Amino acid sequence: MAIGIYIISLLALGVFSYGYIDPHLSTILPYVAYYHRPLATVVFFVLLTSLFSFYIYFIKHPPKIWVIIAAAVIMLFSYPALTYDLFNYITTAKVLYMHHENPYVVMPIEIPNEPYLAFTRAANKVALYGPVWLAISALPHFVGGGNIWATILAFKFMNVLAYAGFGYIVWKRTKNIHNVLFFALNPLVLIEVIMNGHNDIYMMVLAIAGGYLGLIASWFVKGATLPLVFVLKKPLVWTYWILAAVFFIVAPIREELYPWYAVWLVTTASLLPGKTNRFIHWFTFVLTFALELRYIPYLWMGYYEGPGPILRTFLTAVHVGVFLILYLWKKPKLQLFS
Amino acid sequence: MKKILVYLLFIISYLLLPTFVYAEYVLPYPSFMPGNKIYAITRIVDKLKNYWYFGEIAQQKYHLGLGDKYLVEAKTLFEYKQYLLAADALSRSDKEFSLLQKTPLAVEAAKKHVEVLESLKSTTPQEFTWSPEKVAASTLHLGSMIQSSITIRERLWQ
Repeated sequence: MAIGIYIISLLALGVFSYGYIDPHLSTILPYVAYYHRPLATVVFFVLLTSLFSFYIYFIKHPPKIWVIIAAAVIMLFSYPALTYDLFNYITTAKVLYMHHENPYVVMPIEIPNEPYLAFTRAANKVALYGPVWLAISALPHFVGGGNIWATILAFKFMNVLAYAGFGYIVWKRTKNIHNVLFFALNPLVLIEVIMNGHNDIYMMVLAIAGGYLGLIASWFVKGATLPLVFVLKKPLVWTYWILAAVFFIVAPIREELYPWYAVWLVTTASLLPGKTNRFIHWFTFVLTFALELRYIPYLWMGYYEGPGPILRTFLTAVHVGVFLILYLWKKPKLQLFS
Repeated sequence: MKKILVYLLFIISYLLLPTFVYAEYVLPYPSFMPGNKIYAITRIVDKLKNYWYFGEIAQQKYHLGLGDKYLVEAKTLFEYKQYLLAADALSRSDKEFSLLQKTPLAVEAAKKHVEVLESLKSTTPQEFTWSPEKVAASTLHLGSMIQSSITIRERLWQ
């Protein structure tokens, strides 16, 4: 029963995602959700709450492995609805591998008559990620063969492989299915890594499983793992708090708390034993929910500016704040998993 | 009341009337100049940058950047009457500029360059005899050199 509702929720999210399809990508599937914003916001909130509720349930009552596979497959075929970053990756790869221009010098907008500009938002920026990411993005670029839909799918499929790889790392290191589920069924991970296709998972795979060389390589995907060089010999919990510091201090200074940055924290927390890291696991759970709520102002209003930044901060701060007060005040013994 | 109306009219016209902002082409500040110990290093860096600026569009940026840099260098040297070094810098700027394709940005840059060169033409002697020690003197035809630099740039929009 629970599995059935969970799968239906995921399928509903997959269908819902196509309501945000860019009008330049398809004229058959309209920009439905954009024109029915209050309804779309409610639907998103209900689906999100449902997924997070089942997430908790499944951590405590582990389902069969096929549920993880089904979740990944459904998200693979969903549309990257909530951000345009995947299109930026695709266009940056095209600048390098098709136009043979240095993406750190030439912005996509400078390429004359480039059709991908119609759905690329950061076209006025040079490449935002490191050369390791550019090298990784060659594979889906060439597999996509110049077809935008095939390229989207190729990028997302590669993310599924990285997601599966990290799930395997968690299993190898912890031998605990609860830890694996903590990572693999986290709705933020499913949405940001597979649905939206963000590249943070590669940075984490390299930093966590790649040894010294992997850590160095991870710096050249995104620089967030740079301070981990100071805690190489320390217990993994240090890695969590260092990444949390980058997340809460550096990220807002640079731009803002983007939900997908929490992939750094979920991946690290999933490697920590449940018994001794109760707070970290609950905190990560609440944080991921609070971060996904940050999409709500945009879904409701249709733009990011205006009261958007304050509302986004409010939605995150209130949930995390209430959790911290309750946790510190009541000091519950409740474990997310053992 | 009249005053308020005038203020209101002013505010409304300020809000409603379109305003135009035009960013003029700006040349860089001069960096290390010939004679400085670091200058040789900057020249090597300039050469190495050529590999970083691969691709047709990036190459345009590369040549335009160097064309600007060497022009500013030449202008400063002309102003300090270091004609031999100035002539060398100007010829390097010409070389970079002649590699540019006709793009709106290149045309804009060319116009700015011509503006600078015209002002130099009026303050620089037509000819200058360079007489170093132990070597025969040579004459620099500065006037025709500057004129030829102008012609190279004018070709871009003519």
